Amino acid sequence: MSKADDNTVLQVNDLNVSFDTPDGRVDAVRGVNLHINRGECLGIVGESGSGKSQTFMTAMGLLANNGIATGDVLFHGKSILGMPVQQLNKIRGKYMTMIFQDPLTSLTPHMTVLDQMTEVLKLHTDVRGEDAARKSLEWLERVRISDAKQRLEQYPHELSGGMRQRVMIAMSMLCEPELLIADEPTTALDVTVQAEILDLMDELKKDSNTAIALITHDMGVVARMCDRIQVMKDGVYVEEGTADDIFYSPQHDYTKMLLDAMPRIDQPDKATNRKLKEYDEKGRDQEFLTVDDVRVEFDIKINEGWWPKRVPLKAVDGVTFTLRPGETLGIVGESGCGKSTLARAVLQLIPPTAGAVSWLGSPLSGLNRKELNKKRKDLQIVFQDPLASLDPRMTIADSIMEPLQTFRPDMSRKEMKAKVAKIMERVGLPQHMINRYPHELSGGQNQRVGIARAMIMEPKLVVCDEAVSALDVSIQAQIIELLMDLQEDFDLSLLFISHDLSVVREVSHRIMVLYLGRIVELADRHEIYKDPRHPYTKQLISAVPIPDPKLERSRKRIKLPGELPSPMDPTAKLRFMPSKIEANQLDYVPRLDEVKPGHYVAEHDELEKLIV
Amino acid sequence: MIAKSEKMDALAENIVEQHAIKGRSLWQDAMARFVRNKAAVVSVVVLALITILSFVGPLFAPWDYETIDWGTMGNAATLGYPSIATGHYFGTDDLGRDIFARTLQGTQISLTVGFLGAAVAVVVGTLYGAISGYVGGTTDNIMMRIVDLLLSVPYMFVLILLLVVFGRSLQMLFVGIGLFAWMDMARIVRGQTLSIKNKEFIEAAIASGVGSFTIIMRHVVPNLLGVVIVYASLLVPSLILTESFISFLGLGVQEPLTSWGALINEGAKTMQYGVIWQLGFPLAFFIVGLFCFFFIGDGLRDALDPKDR
Repeated sequence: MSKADDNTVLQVNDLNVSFDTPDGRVDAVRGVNLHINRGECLGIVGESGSGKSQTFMTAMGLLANNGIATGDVLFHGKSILGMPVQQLNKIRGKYMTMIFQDPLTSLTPHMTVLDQMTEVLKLHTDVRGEDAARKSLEWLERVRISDAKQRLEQYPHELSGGMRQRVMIAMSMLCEPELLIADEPTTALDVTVQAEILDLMDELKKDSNTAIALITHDMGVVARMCDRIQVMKDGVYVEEGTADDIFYSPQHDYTKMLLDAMPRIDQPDKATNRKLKEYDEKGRDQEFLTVDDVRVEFDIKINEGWWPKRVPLKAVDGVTFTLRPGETLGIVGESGCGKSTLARAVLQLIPPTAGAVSWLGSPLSGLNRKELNKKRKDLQIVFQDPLASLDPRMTIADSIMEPLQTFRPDMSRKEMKAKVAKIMERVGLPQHMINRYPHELSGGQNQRVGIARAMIMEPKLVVCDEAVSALDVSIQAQIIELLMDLQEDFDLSLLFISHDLSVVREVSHRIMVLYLGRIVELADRHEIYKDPRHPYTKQLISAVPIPDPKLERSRKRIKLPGELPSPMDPTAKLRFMPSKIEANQLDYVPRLDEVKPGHYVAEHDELEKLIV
Repeated sequence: MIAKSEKMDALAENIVEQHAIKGRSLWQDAMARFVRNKAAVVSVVVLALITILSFVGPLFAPWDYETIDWGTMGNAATLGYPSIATGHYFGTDDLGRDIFARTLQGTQISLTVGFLGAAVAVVVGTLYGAISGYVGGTTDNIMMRIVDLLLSVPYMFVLILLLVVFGRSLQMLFVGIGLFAWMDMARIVRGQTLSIKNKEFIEAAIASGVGSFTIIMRHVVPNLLGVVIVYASLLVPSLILTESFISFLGLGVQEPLTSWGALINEGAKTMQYGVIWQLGFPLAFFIVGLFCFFFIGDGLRDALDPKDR
């Protein structure tokens, strides 16, 4: 275990942070000690509300007005806690910088990248004018932004999420700080982008000998990046040690639980105590849900010339699949690939522009609202944000009861209440919560309410739209387990949408990979991870961090050059077939071939060709 | 494996329990903030006293609002001064009618106009705005253009015209005020509805097969209540002001009924003849009443704005 010495950049001694709220005093951080040395990456792991961010916000002097901090924060042996803002400003931004989760909100929207970067230089150094511009460009190139020169003149909203985070990193590295605090830097990003940002931070650590404090909830990210790890729970460090210690011989129960509950892409059936039952085709009616060449287009206004033009944006561009009764189909893809739109088109919440959805042999598309509402009894959805999907002014029992009121008006209120009580028990909600409001419950409990509402009519199909993405890992594992139990009890079919490939692997029988509204690969859950064929699938799988430091650091990653093309770009669908673009066959639509029984892959060029 | 899983469940349960915050409802929260606002609480008390007085007071007054005290008639300046002995606590007007009884009667009318007008505006405006916003598209366009059109008509002019053409009556006054007061409400509600209708719980309700009108009544309107209450609390005094202005012009309520505005009008005409009580008492009620409404409105706005925690 390393000790604080001359090499130590930041040292925190017995830090306590508490907040005065209308509910009384809340102790967010209780007696925390830590130190970070040069060229070291310290990981702070914990679930939401554990106080991991507050520790560093306080160290940076960003404590909220109702907060009180005691203890000591030393930067190179000099106490900076409670230092006047003017003096503190000479240290923060120059010697210690911070990057946040959401790169859009942490960049000023009305300033170009160049302006924002030179402002930092103006404040902390005497680099001005041409020199400042040159230095900014240099750093943008170092963080490997494509067309760096052009980016300098752009505004934050013109950049993609990954590029924004790169700009943030470039900005925070401008003065070559000794400490970089990264608060969930990749949580809002797609896995492939996350992989690149993490690589970049790792390189910076090695090249500039910068100390990095990485705050995250993701054990995979920690395994990849960190030398030392502190596990935090309820404002206290429950365990600390080197990466190997924590991952291979965890001591504290909480650390063990975190590691256990984390799904791994290389090991199916890990996060939960039960295994997904293999799909059994016998005696099943095959006419269940058929989605045939569904397309969803949104009209986008483009201001070009005198009149705004309307251009269709193809959110879903010809997707065909079938779902069998009692089966789970996982839909994965990065943000903007149309997975949520596809799910809503299946449920007819967004009417598809073209194509047909048929349900138990009869078409769903083209029905009017009344006819559709009758079918909704069997078609339900569970949303990503458990709190937002519940009416804040209704008790949870009323929310759960709502489908009953719609479909079973013949039932008396008493019967409905009995049924609600039954389903609440089934999803693991205690009876005494019946009159609670959503904001009084935790995220996991609210998601149970959402599931109870979806399940009360005993539907045949439930769409889970990122249903576990907003939850902490331990809660996530429980919810996954609940979904699998319910599936067995009710012979439910699930469309499980997620950006997280390891979670999808836990729950799905078959997995479909979407890219810009098109299927690139569709196969059995084991098949797709063992034998991915499409370059995009390979890239996705290789980008997911595995919570195992040795394995994770020795893994080879597949990187495809370039950013995600805009779906408005007519050649976007040929992203993996540059040969057709070269041949000027711009209208070519890649076919979906069945390479093995049940394993479909979209046409593509060889991986080697794509990388060069 | 089993032992491990039990442990994990216990741990996980532990976490779930700790995350469950002992809750207060949104209303309790707002109530607590409202009570902390001293001016608003005092205003509620004062306004309640005024209201109670306006209904209970006439029972104890020796004179009623239309009976003429022939002894003081024409001699208001010398005989009609405020006095406990004569039973004219606030004095009399030039016709010898008791100002105390008339002020209370005027308070009743003014408060009724304010509350009833605001209630009509709230009901019509909320429904109109919620439907317009929720349905959206062409319907929204048409409904909102109608509001724009009506708002562009100078309403005071139309109100005066209505009262002149159809004669002065309390009913006409209600119709006239109600006709215009709901439009601002409708606009505000529509804006709020637009942001509510894109929330996931609305989508969840659609996915549960709930009909559009039920969604509006069950999910949209209750979530608008905060805004509606705040706006209504500011609408009441503005309606009282409108009524007072109309009465001040002499177009409001019909004699012998009166209102704050009508009383102030009469009092203002005679203030140079040494009968300042004819103006003073109604004016005091009017000012105190309006102040209370504005303080309450401010208090509610602060209390119901979740960003202000």
